[in-house]
Amino acid sequence: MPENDDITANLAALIESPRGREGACRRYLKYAKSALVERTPIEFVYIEPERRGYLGDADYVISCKIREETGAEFVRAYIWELKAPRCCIFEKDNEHRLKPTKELYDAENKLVNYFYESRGSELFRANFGVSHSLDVRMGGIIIGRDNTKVNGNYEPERKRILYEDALRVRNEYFYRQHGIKLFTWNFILDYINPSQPPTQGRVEPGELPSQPLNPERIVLSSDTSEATSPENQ
Amino acid sequence: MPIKDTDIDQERIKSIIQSRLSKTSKEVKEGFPEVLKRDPVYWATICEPEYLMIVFLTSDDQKRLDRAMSLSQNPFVGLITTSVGPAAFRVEKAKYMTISGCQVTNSFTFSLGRDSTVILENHQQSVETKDMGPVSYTVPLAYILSYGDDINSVTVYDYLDGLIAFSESNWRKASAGKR
Repeated sequence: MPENDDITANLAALIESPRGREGACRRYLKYAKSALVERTPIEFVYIEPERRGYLGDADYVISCKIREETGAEFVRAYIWELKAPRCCIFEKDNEHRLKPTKELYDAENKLVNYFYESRGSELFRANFGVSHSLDVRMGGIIIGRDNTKVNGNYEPERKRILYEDALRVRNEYFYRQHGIKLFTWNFILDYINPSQPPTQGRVEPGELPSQPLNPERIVLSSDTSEATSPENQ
Repeated sequence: MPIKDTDIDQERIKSIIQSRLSKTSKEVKEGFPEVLKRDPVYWATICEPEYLMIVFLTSDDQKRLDRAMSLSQNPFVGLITTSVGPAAFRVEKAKYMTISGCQVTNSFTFSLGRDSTVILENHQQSVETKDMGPVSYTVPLAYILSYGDDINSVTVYDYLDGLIAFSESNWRKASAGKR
């Protein structure tokens, strides 16, 4: 098995390369498996890159066994659609709005079609160990890199705002209710290549300002209760 | 760029915590920090304009937090400054960083810059403050995410989910190594 430094250097080079293709990047997804499923698994069951289907090939399918608090176990499969790191995610529609690039539209269309086909396929469920069609899920789309988020001649700050708005709209009205995630390849690289803590700095001891936090910005929660902030307690 | 606290969806955070940490089986939880083995699991979400911090709480921490908040005091004084100033760790554009078992005295722990995600485990902080006198506390487990070009009010949930998945994966590896 290659050292982690080699893995991350190779993936970083692929991401930056104008010829880096999704098929080559896909080989590195096995190092980020946990990020590709939405629950904490007890084990990964089966992974298949390029799952052949009647409608086309799903780029990456991963299934994992989940055991709940109650002891109930089930296997869930997640379908991912991949596009090359060089692909842009959104492009200019007008001064105030972005639209998905044809690559993102293509990925979305493939994802929903492969999901539709796989969910109804007994063979797919058998191969991935899934008992119920509801446990076949759309994982998401991995596309682009940090500097290909937006194709358009906007000022950098304007570009950032428009990107966030475009993501919000797509998330709120399309992705979120179906559990679809949209990652860049840098998200995967960061996951595989965690930052090391910097050397601890030497600082002169002294009194610190207490930097008050606004209590309204603190919300106490538990995994059984509704979230509450002090003002509505 | 500053994020309003009302932009943060507490129910979504709770759902991520349940899926990844609290509503999992005993076997999975075996390698988790003790604070996650409580039933129920408690946490505080701190929504600052520059960052989001989720701190898991022991029963003592809960009492300390309640007391500090009733006095309008910062329960995590000395932990984070968003200024570029003296601090034990300067963190900027650093993702999936784990800082574990540190003790910081009379200094900020973090000078927190943009676009960073940090896991803080078993951290001890002691500070002498002008208005609160000496303050000392432990953070058993916290997830800290600062906003920037990558992490914004839309993507912060994916980064939190990824950060929790990353920590869980590391605990599992450490736990398997001990066996």
